[in-house]
Amino acid sequence: MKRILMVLFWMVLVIPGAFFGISAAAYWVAYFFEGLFRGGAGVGNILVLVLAAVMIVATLLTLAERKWSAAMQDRVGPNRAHIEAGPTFIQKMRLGGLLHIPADVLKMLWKEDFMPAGARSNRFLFNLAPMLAFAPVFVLFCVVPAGPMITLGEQARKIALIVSNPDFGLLYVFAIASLAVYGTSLAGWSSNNKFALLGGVRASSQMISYEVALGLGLVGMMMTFSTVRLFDMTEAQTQYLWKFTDGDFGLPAWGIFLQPVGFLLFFAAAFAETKRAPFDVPEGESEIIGYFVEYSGMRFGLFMISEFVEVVVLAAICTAIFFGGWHLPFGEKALYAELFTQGKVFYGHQWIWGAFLGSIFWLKVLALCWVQLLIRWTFPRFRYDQIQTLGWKMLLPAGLVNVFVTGALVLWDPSLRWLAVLGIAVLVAIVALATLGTGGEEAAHAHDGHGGHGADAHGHDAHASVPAHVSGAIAPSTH
Amino acid sequence: MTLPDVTFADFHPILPALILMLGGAVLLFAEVFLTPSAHHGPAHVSRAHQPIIALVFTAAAALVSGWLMFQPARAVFLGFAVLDPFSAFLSLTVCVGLGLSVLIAAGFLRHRKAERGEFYALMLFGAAGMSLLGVSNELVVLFINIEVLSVSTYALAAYLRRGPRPAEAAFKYFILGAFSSAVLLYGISLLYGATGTTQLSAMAPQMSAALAKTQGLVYLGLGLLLGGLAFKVAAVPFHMWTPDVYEGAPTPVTALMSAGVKAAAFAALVRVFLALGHNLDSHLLATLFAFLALATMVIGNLLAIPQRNVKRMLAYSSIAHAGYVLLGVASLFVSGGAPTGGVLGATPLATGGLTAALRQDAVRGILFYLLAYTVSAVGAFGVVSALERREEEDRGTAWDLDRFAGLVHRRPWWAVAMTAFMLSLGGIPPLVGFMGKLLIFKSAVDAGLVWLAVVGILASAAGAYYYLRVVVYMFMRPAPETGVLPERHGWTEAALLLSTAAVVVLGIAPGLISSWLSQAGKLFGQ
Amino acid sequence: MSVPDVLFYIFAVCLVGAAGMVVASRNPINAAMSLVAAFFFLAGIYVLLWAHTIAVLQVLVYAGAVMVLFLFVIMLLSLSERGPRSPITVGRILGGAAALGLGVVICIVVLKLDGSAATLTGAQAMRFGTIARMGELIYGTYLFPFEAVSLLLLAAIVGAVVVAKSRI
Repeated sequence: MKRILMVLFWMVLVIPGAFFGISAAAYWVAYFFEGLFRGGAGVGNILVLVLAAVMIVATLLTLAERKWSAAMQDRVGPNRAHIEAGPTFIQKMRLGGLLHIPADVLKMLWKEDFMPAGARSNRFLFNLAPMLAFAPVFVLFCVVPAGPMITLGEQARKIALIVSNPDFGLLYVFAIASLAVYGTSLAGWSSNNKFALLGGVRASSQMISYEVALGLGLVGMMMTFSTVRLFDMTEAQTQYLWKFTDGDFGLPAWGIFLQPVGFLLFFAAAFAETKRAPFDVPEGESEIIGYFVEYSGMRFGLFMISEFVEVVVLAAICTAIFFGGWHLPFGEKALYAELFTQGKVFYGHQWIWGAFLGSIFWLKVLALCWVQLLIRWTFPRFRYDQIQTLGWKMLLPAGLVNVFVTGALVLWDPSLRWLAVLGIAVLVAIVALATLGTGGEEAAHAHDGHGGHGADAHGHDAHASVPAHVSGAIAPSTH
Repeated sequence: MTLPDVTFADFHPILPALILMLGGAVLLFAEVFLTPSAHHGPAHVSRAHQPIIALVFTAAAALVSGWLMFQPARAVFLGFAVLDPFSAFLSLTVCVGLGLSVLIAAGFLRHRKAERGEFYALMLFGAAGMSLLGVSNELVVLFINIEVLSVSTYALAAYLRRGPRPAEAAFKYFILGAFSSAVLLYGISLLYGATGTTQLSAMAPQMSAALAKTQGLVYLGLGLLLGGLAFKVAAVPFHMWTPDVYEGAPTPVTALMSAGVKAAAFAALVRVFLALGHNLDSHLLATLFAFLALATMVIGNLLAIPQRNVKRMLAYSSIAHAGYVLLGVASLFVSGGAPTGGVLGATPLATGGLTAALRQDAVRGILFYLLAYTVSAVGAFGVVSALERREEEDRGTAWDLDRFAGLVHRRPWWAVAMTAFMLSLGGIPPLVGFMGKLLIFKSAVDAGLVWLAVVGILASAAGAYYYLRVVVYMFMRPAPETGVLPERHGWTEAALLLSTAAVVVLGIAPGLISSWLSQAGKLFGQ
Repeated sequence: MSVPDVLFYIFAVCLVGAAGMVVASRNPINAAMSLVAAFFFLAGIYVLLWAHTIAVLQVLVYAGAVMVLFLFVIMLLSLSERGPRSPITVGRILGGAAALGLGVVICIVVLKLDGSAATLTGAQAMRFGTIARMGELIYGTYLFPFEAVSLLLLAAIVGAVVVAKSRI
């Protein structure tokens, strides 16, 4: 009971509260900077949103990932870090493992900064590679909108939680995301180690392959909302596809209903770009050795944290495009009218409204981050040829078909309703297939016993005597 | 939004190309879905659907081209392309050459067990580029379409990479082709700099102003443009690549190159220089083309004489035929005014310069010659491909004259067909090649290039020597004792039958297509 | 000097420096990375010219796709880091002289231009170089060249696959 209350306390109060605070801070810092010079709001947003919010979430994810994997594998997870000084209550303090984060950071900073002899001839590139891996994913957040445009303060400045809203929004995402590959391939090459080089080659081939699907997945979305600005896409999702009542209630035109195929394509491709579990052939942290094998200390830390930043940014982009951004699914206008119009409780305090919606955005981001953790700890690793087959022979054709069908439906019915009908049908079909599919698999397991996993003949001879469900449990738990 | 008004009518002139592209796409899909994977071994798999698909789409494109021939000439796509009977006739010629090449390829590839849908798809894409080249009325589009047909033929030339010779041919073609494209593009950029536009219709009125201001730029640009196009038609100073590439490329590809690429490049040449030549010193253009024609006819024929390799001989003969067509082009630009003497000075019989009617006759002559050359040369390459055997390629004897010895005793009907093609290429009545030469020489004489026409006749008389030598070998030399009976290919024989029929029928009764031909003299804007 | 001017000179100097590095660098990977840097600075200059979309596409296509493949190939070929210093030949001297001469000519032409570069204002600037405007141009005015280019790319892709496939 205490545990449940604890979870509820965190879920309902602390996390939304923290995000509310961050969003409010972001608005006021942006307001302050806008007062200093025109366009200063962007600088403020860089400081609070990108440098603080994204980094905090990414850092916490490092712990969350370990905790969640522990939960999925019936372990406790990291809980030992504590401070070996001071009064007893401080020495006993565990904070649910939170202290592991500063411990990790300190460890990385103090570790020997090792550079293999072979890499010394390429010292510059060796040092540059981690930065090239980290910087692109970090600056991706610049075009992601995290809160609405509101009028703030005595000067009535218009402030939105977005660093920059350029005309080429999504193209920027593609352009910058495509640069991340330099970090990995250069790291592999400049280490002067053949295993690192092979890892780098695997990484770059995988990232190149999935960039195509990444772009194609969102083309349908661009056509649907006829814009490439993420801010405008988010705003476009306030309208209703169908209204169920006279009031402010209905099915919102969220991207996920209009473009489920696009979402799946983008999510899968972007997941491959993060090089996380089903797609972690380039890294293979546990056994096959990846491109960063020669890196240690904070240089390795940059590679690691860039992965988590990528998770956050991916979740944020998906939220903005497919899950309505900071918008509530319904009732938003009614709520605003109830609280913030003339004569109501919060009239004149628009920052509360902005920060509230900002926290909605971050909660959605967090949910999508959780989905990514779930995937990462559920699926076993794809083989290299499976990755290429998936990218080129499944995602790419599916993306092309999606573009054609979306284009036809948008032309046919600009109100997007038919697109939504198709999208919801696809969603239902996917859910049904997934459910039936796993059911069938379990049935097959019950029948075959031994043969279930051996069917695809990877040559797990060593496991031949182990019952299938045991070997299946061994495979993914490599961390 | 301010979108310009582009309607379906704008798409009419590119319909043949669209059909060909669609055919290529269908072939690519068929390769994925209809052809069983290579594990089963290509020998057991019927791939007859590939040439059939290609032929169906080619026939459809040809029909549409025939329909387009009777549409009024107009500019489409805001002047980037034109619809005129000239380009429609070119599309028709390309389709004829393509269809015959596809038939030859079907037999050739089956014999070599090298059937792939991509081969036909590339042929169709290349032909689409050729058809689009005919309608291009803007220099950048022209360049792009030249690249389309070039890229397709580069890949096709490299299709069979057996031994050093085909590889060398493909590589040489690619490098020199890329170089000539660069020359062409450079010429285009200079012309753009001089006139401020790349649209031919808009450029023509600018030419006199540009000439007054930056004469050197205009002439240099036109010269580079001519150089780039002359490479594609294999005119003499730019012909070096032709024999090696024609010999090394797979024979059906050689057929398509000699027919389609040449025809399309000539169409572009005529269109560009007719549009821009108005304001130039026409004497200069006429002299230039006359020189090109003279050199190409003479050198092409002279070099072909010593060849014992029939495929190589046909390559040189293709150069010579480019010379005859250039003779026709030269006669387009002879205008009135006082003939100022000089070796190549023109003496127009028609007073007051070349009238529009005579100019149309010259264009007709060029087009008919291209069609005549297409059916004759593709047929000849068809016989060559039917006779060649894979094993002899490395030794270089696959195309030796000796392989034709006594053909009449082994495959009499091939010998007859080959005789028809050779006589037609030699310009001997009553075959189609004769009619073509007649029209070309007539327009040259009308334009006043009498002595050049005489040179042309002498050159073709010299050409008759090496064409007839093949006939002599086929009919009067005994078949080699050890010679294996050449295999029969149904597809190739169909191509031979069709081209023989075309060569004979069009030679005896060119009036069959006279209604088309009389239309085809009309260029947009002329 | 206004901010765009300062930025222009920064980008221009860095661009020329990076381009020089591409030629001067003896290590192929360094040369490739210098080229990537050059593309970036070029993109910056595009932005100063109001061509934002071109700038992003420059990064997306050249830096993000083309050069990655270059790098990929260089890595796989494992070229020797220090190639032999090639001897100075007549061809190299002539080539250098030609490049120098072209540079001089371009400089002369640029110096002869009058400095009254057109500046964009108001509504014109709002539309210039945007994706919407580019879309109108590509799918309107330049529809035919655009489609011709797509045919060219298709033919090139199929041709490349045919050439790269195993020997027949």
